[in-house]
Amino acid sequence: MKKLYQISKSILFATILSGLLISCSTETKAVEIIKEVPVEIVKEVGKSKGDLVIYSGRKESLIGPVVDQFKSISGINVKVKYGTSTEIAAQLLLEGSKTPADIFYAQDPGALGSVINMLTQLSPDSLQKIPEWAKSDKGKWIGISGRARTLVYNIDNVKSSDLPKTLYDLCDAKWKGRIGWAPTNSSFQTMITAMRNIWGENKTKTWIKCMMANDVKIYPKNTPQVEAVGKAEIDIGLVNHYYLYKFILDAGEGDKFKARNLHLESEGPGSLVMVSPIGILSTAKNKDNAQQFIDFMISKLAQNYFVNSTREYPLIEDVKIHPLLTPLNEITKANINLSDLADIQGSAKLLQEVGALPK
Amino acid sequence: MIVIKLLIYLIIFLFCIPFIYLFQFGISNLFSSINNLFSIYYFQLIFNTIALVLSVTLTTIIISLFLSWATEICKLKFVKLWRILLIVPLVIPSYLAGYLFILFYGPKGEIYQLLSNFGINVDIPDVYGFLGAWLCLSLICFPYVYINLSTGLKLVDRKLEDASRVLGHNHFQTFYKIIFPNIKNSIFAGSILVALYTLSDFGAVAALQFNTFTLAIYTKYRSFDFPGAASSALILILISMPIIFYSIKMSILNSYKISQNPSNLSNLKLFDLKHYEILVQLIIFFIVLTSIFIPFLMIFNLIFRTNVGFIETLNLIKWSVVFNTFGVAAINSVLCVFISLFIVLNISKKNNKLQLVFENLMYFGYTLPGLVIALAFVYFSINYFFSIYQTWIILILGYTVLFLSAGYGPVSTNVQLVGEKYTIASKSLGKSTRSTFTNILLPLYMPGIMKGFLNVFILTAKELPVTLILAPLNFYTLSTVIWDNLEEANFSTAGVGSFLLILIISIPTYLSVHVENIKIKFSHTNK
Repeated sequence: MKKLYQISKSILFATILSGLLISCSTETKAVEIIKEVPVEIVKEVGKSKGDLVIYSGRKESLIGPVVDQFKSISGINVKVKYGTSTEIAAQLLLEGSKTPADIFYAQDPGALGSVINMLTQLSPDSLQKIPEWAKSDKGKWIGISGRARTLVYNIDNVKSSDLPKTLYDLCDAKWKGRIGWAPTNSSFQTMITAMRNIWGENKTKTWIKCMMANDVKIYPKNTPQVEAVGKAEIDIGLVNHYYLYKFILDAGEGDKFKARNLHLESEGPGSLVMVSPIGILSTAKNKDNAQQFIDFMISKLAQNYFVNSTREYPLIEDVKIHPLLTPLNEITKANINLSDLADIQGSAKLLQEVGALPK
Repeated sequence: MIVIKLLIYLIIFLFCIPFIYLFQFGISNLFSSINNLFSIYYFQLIFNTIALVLSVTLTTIIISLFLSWATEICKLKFVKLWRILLIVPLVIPSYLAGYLFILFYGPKGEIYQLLSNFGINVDIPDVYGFLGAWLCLSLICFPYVYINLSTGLKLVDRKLEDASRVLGHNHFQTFYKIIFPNIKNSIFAGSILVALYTLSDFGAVAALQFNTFTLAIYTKYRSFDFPGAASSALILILISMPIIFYSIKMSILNSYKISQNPSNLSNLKLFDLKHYEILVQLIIFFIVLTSIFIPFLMIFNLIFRTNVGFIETLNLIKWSVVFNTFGVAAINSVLCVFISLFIVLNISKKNNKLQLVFENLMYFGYTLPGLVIALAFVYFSINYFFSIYQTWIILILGYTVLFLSAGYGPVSTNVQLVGEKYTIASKSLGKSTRSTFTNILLPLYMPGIMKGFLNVFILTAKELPVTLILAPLNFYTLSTVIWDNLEEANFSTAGVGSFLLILIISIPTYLSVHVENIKIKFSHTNK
């Protein structure tokens, strides 16, 4: 027994020691996760107290810091529930009018759209600050930050002359076994919804079928796809733009991470720019606080946070994008109204019908 | 008496909640879903699921038979170290295990890079699909069987073994003929946990892209097909029924066969492996390497992938998260052990039918995916018990329905093993029922209680879907932190979170093995 105790003690010491050593020896630069947000005083936000309950489909590691900042500035007692957007939507539908939530902040318009009947009108002031394309046409939600659908490709294996122009080009036999997608991912399903709107049901179906015929590899979500492209496990992945930069910055030193984003040039569904939308529930008990939170989220302070930490597109004027990103006005955005993207169920049905999703 | 009855029915009701929810939402769709069953797609899905469950279960049984034989029956060096290490794979949550598995064995993964550093370029077989899911789940699940088996072996009457040897059987014949029948019960108790864990697993199969029934249920929820998801869950229960019925039947049948005279541990003769010991040691080392060292190495790979220091990342994780994880796991495992003991003592002896109903319900709770249980409790508490909604009470109740069976197994086996003889003896000596229970029976039940506690503790600490949905607002556990950061590719935080989770789980793991060793020592010195 004693021997064992000594062994385990020395193992423990060794681990702690090596941890200490490594953490001391590596240069501790100001790295993204801990990056300080430039402090500005936000005048619009006053000092009122009370509660606010947020259901968030965006992760704590993404929005936790900005929520904390709101807490300390406003003095409001903010309580957050984090989860997957669609699962939270499912929970909201079960909760109905008894929901404790004041705000639903989702990953994409599709998940929020499925509970649109539970949402109330937002204040005209905040609606006015957001460009037309990034908010609900009925004034029920606004986008907080923007993200583009892109193709992420491996720079060693795909020559720039070979790059596809539209999503339909991926049907070409030369891509057989080299593409990945994440059919259960809600951003992907939202893109399919856009595709149905722009291309029509039949062309969408044909595209899904030809992708499957091209042995498209299935991933559970975006990040592993970006990782897989970096390792040349696949050559092209269908993802959102911002995951890539984390890998590039983590890997450091030039081209060590072998993947880059491609914004398709056409106005088709491949160049869809989505937003993570936020809405207030009509049953909310703290509507004023909820509105305050939304105003904070579209203030310069919060928008700058998104630029620096999540590398998404800011949606108000006068906020500069992250230097690694392609400016929004250089992307030919898909020709679609984001409010038309709520029909995730229809897209899921289509994917099921074709066999890309379980029935 | 009435209070006890009431409590029993309350507990049974708790386990009915998922069914009320599923029937409410799924029954309308069930008919068309059953119709769907006859499509090639469903046939494939069911085939996938059954193939995975069977192969993982069989693999874990084989691994555990070997390991428990080596660590309990053979004379082996480092045996105490092995005994502790061989429980450790349990602590890795399956969604993390799947991810780490790909990181190491995946295309262009670490093993590929390691080999190519030595100039070896081999084609690593594709880990996605059945192969990966099978290996990954086997590696994190085998300790369920191993723990049960090694306890079972300790309780076998080894005098029979001597008799068999005297009659001319060799070591392996003796093992097969004398010991094996006696530990069948332990094998069933452990392997049902593995089979049902595999059936309800989402994390590993999602990461390794093997389409099973549970994955299909999640996919349906994600595309807002609630009736479809509910009816699929009902079908999942149909699939699990044969497994559950069979194992309950076997455990009842076998419980009578267990020898009633646990051997006197002090004069245990260990089998001398002689020069084969090195081979056995190598195999054990290989199992420990693949199931523990490699995942841990990959966790450190995550932690040190970025140039953020370990301590800095550690500071990103709030202490409240560590405390919460430990708290819910401890509360739930104590509660589950209490309920198990309560049920075993109050139903099993008196009412066989009620016991059967209860055990079936309990195992269904373990079979259903966490997401289904969580939504069922949302539905139930929003409509009927709003005051406990988003409190830790509903969270613990959800955990209990999910994991009670993991605590119930060891407790009920132990109670059956101890039997009635001590009670009769104690009572005939004039002791009261209460004194008999606390002074005589409880200490005898302790090994089972400890095992049950440990099982539930580990499962609760690493649980994800129920925690995400049922937890109070602003309540996070290490498991949600790991998931959050893994999703957002904050690898070092996810790595440090995993490291902390493993540390937390190793405390009760170490303690339970430690206590057992002390007990054995104690019984040695007493004799």
